[in-house]
Amino acid sequence: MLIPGPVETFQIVDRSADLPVMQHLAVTEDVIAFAAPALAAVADAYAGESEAERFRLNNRLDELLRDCADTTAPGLGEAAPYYLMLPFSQGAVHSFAKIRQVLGEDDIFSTQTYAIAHSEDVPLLLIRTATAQAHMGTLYDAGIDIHVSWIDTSTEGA
Amino acid sequence: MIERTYPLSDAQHHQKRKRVGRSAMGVLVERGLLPSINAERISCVLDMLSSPVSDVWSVTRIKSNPGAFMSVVIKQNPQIMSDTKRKDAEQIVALSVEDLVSLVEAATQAAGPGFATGKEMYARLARSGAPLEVTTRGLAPRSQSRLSIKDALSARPAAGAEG
Repeated sequence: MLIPGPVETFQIVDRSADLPVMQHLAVTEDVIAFAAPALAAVADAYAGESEAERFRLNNRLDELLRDCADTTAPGLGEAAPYYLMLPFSQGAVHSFAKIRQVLGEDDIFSTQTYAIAHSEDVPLLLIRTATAQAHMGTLYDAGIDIHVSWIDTSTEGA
Repeated sequence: MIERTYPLSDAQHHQKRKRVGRSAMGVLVERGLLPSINAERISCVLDMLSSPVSDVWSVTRIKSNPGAFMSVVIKQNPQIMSDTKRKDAEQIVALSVEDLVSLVEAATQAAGPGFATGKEMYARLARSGAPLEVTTRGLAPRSQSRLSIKDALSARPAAGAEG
């Protein structure tokens, strides 16, 4: 199982096959679990757009959210797969405070997403950007162990 | 409406066993929920159960060589036992711990929702064409100041805001 960060979730909601995260998904056998705060980050970004654009974008997001379910969803047998969404759990509350203490008042949605990955002990799926690497390096140095599956843009689709 | 249920006849039992036989095991294997070796072993006993003439271990036969009985169950496939001296005797299936555990795990997972892998997500969602302008622009970081405990505890309703 892998949890995409907010930026990565943003690319999945866009769905363009040109995007590095989508190209990475095409060869990923693991279940992809959306962190609720990462989806909230997308909704928040869309909310800042013009009214006409916002309507189109929200429809796109709603299409995905309609098929999202948590692990308590009923059995679906042969039905099409659901998208797993992880809520902000009790464990994540404690992880969030620890991570925020280390990263400071940085992007709130990223911090919340990292907290879910930490509390659920599920690797993050992140594009190897300088910011993401700096975040993970800082957390590692502080003894907060979050596994990461990196997307190296230069090697995607090679 | 309350639906009354009746015990199944022998013929109905045979039909039911056929339905849950090899095809059901095949689905579990196809979905990666049950190892094919266990599916094959369990299918063997389901085939025997749906067959009118099957190799049933009687109490006498088991008593004469219990080790052989257990060896067949563990090394080959589950076996059917019955007290053949009694006319109304129910058949019992003996299966190894590994077969039982693998079957219970497969059933538990099959009853749960099937969450999409990256590949499945790509197959369902990917579209041709360039990314949207909002995506190209990127996600602006949203920093938020830590809530001050002093501010939180001193918060009071604004005067005249009631109702």
